[in-house]
Amino acid sequence: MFYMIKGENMKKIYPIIIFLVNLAALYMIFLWAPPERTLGDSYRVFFIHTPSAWVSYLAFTITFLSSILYLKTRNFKWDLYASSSALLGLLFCIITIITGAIWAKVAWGLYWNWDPRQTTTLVLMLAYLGYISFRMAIDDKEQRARVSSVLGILAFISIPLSYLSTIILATIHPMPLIPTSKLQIGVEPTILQTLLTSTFAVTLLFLWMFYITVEMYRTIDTIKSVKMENVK
Amino acid sequence: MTTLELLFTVSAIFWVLIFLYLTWLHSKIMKISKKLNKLKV
Repeated sequence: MFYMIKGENMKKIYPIIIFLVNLAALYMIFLWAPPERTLGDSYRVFFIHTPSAWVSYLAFTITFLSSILYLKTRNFKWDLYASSSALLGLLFCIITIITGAIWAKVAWGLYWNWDPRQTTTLVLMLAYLGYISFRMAIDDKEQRARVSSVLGILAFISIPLSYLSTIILATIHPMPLIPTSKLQIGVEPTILQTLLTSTFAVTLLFLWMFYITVEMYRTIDTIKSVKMENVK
Repeated sequence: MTTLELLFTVSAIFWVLIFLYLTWLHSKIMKISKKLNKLKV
């Protein structure tokens, strides 16, 4: 149905779709999903914490791929995608760390335990904070794009490090959902459906924010190049 | 912290940070549109 909605109309309709999907996700998180056997209602935090972590991984992966494509093609479009995605990834990473720390206080008694997952996620956040700081420090457009592309590729190492920390290292962080056999996952279907819906809702929100951020930076670039031409 | 307080705090942090980011974007876009109008003149 949506392929029939063109350009400008889609821009107006997309935020409404996001709002409705997020509303449905909130309903499922707080009212539809049943309490968990051991954690009770406090486990509902995962429906906000986990999608935020997933979106930050997704955003940093976009930064990684765009950085490679920039170095390969030298097209500034990829640099724009890489920086916008890193900024949003950082936002969702901060949300993940804060929400995780609050849950840790309730479940483990401390906001910060230096647990391998907490520590590696902090490293991930600092890596992309460094990426953005470097970008802000360099004025020359080409140099900035080249240096930050290399950083965007290097910083990506922290993602498998963060994800695999619960599998490889001794941690008290809950394990990720891994299928125990073909198409069989060890959680209640209602909980899984809620998790998938909330992940879908946050991903939609991210894609919309990503689109706006890219458009904004593209316009700033255009203004700068027009100004430079006027000076010449 | 009760479960209700925990859920409220976590949801509030998520939506407040998203709102702050969107507000920052909005203020940037407003500045850009002002610059664009100046360039047109």
